[in-house]
Amino acid sequence: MSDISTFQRLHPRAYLQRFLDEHLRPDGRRPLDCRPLELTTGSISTADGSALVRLGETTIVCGVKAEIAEPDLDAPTRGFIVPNVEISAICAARFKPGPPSEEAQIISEQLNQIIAKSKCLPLDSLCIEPRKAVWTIYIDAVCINYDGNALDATLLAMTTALSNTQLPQARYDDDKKMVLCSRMNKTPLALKTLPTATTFGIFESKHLLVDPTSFEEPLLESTVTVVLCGSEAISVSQVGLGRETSPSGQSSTSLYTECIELAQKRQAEILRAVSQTNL
Amino acid sequence: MDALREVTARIERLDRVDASARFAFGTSSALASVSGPIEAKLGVEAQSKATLDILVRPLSGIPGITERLLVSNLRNVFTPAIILGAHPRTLIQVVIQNLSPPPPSSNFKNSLFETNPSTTAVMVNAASIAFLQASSLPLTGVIVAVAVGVSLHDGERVILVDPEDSELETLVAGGVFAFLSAQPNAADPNDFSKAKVVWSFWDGTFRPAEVSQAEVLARAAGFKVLRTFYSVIFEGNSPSMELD
Repeated sequence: MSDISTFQRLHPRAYLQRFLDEHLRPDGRRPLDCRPLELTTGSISTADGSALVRLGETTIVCGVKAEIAEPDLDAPTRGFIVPNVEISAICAARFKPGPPSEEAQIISEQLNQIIAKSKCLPLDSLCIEPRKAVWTIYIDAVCINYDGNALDATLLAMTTALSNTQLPQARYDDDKKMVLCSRMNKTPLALKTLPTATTFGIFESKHLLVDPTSFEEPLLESTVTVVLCGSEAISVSQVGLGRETSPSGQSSTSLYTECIELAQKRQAEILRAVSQTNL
Repeated sequence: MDALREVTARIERLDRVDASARFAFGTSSALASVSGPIEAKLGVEAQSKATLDILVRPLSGIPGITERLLVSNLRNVFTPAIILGAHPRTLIQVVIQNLSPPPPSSNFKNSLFETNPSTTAVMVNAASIAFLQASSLPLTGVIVAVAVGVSLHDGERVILVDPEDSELETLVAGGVFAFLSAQPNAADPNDFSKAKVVWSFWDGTFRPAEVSQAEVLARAAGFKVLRTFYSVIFEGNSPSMELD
């Protein structure tokens, strides 16, 4: 018995190459097409804000919980943001149960840096009373179906959940030495421009693939990630040798420019989807 | 603006590893050791190639999540440079000890970089010299890394190669470029133009054109670093790193 899926298993490279020769990818997309995006907000009623993001088959659920904490001594007005992503065994066979996988830890750290550096949620806006009480925002994302490109999907889930978040109005009562929260009045977070990430893979030093799936990911020898915040790029990284060099040796430069341009188009799509969800 | 701080490199003589080297840009410095091919533990053994295991030790404390992210990047940097298929079912172990002192000022929570990006560059370079010195592993090329920053001076953006710790607060963007030089030829400076960018990251707010400019500057500086590698490996010169 031999059919196309046997060929895919035994010779994944040749399989992908055959598709790319026809300028298509195994899931029917063109190399520079992203997968369809679906957003739902507010589905977790116990959280202060939540979002569910589907990027093709990749599904991420994200909940935001706010707690009151004491600020650091050297930064009396600054709150805390703690993003975390869990890629557990339920989302794909290659993840094993147990402590967080290296991949999950790395994505968590990348998200932490993106959220901190984009300053989309100013830490000073989380202050309730200087030196006494600030909000700690826990952003917990869980991957429930892993089909590649978890970074882009998780960042989108986190930013959507943040824009869905409502915090109770809180004030510090000096007599009781405690924070009192209103049951009725809730206010949204003071969010600034939200960051968006776009990941690209390069196959066989030639083909640029946007938004790789879990089948394509292990076959890519380089990846490029572009994080945009408004009209500015806030992070561009390239891992691996990139595309084949032209004789002038300036391959990575044109690669960056191309990736940033594509990421800007993608950003517009993402922001449109987010604003439609929030209507 | 395009000058590196004082570049120092030295072959170290750690006893129980195959090779070790120290590399520094000014005060940013790192010590790296390479062992391999050595026996791989059953869990990490790969059937068709050697396993590359990189450990990064911070100056104080135990490795944390930032080191883990760095390790995963460094593994991707060195994988194309080493012919892993030459020694299947073995282990190549690289240990990099960070020796850069933390930036002096305490206001670093405001700035973009909590540590100098050059800290990362010297780690890559130290490991790279250790690989050359070990000569027990076939390489496809030599890796050199250079940090670049964009600093804001009176509203004007200036690109700085290898920023100093005191300049960190003025940085609005910056990053590291690592080049894989596959046919190194120390005598011919034009040859380094063929070196490929094997890893780069660029953070902060910036225009795309600045990244290209930064890459050109990093490439020029990377060539100087490569020549330092040669003078250390082939001529045994250890420029001015005092014995301690």
